[in-house]
Amino acid sequence: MSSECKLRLPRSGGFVLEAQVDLPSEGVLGLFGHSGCGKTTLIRCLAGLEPSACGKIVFNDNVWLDSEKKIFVPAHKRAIGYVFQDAALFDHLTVYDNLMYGYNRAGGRKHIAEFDHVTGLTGVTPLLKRTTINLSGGERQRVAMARALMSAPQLLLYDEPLASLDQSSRQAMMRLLERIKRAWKIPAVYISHSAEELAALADTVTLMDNGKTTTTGNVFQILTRPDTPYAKSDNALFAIPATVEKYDEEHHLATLSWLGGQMLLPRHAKPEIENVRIVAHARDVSLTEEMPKASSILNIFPVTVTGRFPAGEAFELIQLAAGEAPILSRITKYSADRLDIHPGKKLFAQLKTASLANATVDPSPSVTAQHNQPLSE
Amino acid sequence: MTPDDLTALWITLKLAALSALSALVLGALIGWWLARTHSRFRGIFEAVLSLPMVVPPSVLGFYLLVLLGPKSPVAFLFEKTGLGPFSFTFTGLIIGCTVSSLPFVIRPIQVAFSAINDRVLEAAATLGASPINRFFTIALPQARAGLITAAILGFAHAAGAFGVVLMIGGNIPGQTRVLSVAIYNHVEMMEYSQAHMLSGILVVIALVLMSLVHLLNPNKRRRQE
Repeated sequence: MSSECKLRLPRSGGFVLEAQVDLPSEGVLGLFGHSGCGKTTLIRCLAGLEPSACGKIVFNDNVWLDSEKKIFVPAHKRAIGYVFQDAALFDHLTVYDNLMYGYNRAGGRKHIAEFDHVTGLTGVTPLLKRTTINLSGGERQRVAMARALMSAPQLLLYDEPLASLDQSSRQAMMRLLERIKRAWKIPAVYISHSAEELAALADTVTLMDNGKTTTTGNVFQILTRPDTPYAKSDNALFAIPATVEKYDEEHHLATLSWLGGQMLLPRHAKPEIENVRIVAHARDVSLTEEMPKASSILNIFPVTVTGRFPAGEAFELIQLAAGEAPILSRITKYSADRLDIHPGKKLFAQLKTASLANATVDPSPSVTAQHNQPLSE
Repeated sequence: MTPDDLTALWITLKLAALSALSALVLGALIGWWLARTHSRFRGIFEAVLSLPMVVPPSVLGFYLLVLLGPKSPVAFLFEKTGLGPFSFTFTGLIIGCTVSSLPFVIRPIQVAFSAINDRVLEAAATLGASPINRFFTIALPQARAGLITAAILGFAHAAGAFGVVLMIGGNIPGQTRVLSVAIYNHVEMMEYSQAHMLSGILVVIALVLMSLVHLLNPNKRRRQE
């Protein structure tokens, strides 16, 4: 099955969207760029919410747009699930009726899972009888996700679903998105200006700047580029794929193997998933010329410098290869000069701290078991 | 109250209810279009629609009389369809009252439709709801308060119509004579006590209806997202 997406849409004020993306047949495609770069316009074109868009969109052999042949399939006839930044719930309906609104309009497609399974996994089962008015931001967004899943989508479109949430609900929501991805493997397009979200969720990433799509690559490569949003800020981060080897219960340490060797990370409990991602900030990676004899830092590994970029007045962003894995380090310009950092130079990197993404499983069965009876109202 | 006055009261209520209903249906469609369109003709259209508010009712009634009468420019339609002419009929009154109360009905509906978040309608579309389906399942329920207000205003306006009714032919006892015209007749005959009675009834109806509008639209702020 083939897919294709090439778009052009002029907007008022001289802004022109000119985009070409590879729609995923599996996995998550991240669209990464600053606010106002046209990400939302692009994803709205995919959803069919921009009737004046020109170009061609084919998803899994279904033609959604072909402006040369004057084909435009409107949003309600595309097999999509769209999650808006502000949830966009139907406030005149209960949570249950919000979900049924999608469920009843699946357009003859097979539902991705039982109603109860979806509400259980998204954690909205206890909310079903409530009205939407008094839900918290995180709850609203979970209902919106469950509702989108109910309509049997073949492509999920996430329009910065975490942007309007506070930090704690954001973490919970990210875990939920990972679970949804793992449970149903629905291809998805995820737009964000947060490297952290893409590090956890995306498989491939397309960079966008000023209405144009620029570069596409796998998420691990793209995150270590110097031209991503925030790459030059204190929050620059990178991700590396890893496998959980063992868990030391006495010291609460997980041993992970990755392309650069092995890594020890403190975890309060054993990671529940084998294939995880290590996500670390560039500022937590320091560089040294010699292997230190004794250090409180657990993770020290050899790296080769592949690039050096100014990042603000006092800092530099150093691109490194650890084995095959691209990583980043953010150090002062002064240190970079003192270490004489240049491409090809071999150094040791010390990783102070990192987190794991994609490491937890579905909520315990007891959560879903309470509400096994299908609701009929 | 004389039997004639009672009949006039009944006709008034019937007229008000039916014209409020037809104005509501028309108003919902027009209000939806006005609230959603980006057409450059919207301004002109809105001006035309608000004419019944500013043109004297007798003028509106006169044009409607010409339009609905047997020698009207659309009389061929009457022949084709077998309906009409509508001058001096109860149906004519409904048409007249519908037109004259339309601006009062459209306004609250349009405001209610405009207040609906675009995202919510788009969300419905992405879930598979067609435009017509969205109108009935999202727009109408979310604009419910506006629709009720519009219905009450339409009813109140039609119940008190005088100029339009008189011009289209509303003085046939038992058919088109409504309360407002009956009051006029009583005053003409110097029957002030009966005029008092009927006027009082109209005031009470109006008071009850306007209280309802205010009860249904308390100034509560809707939760911001």
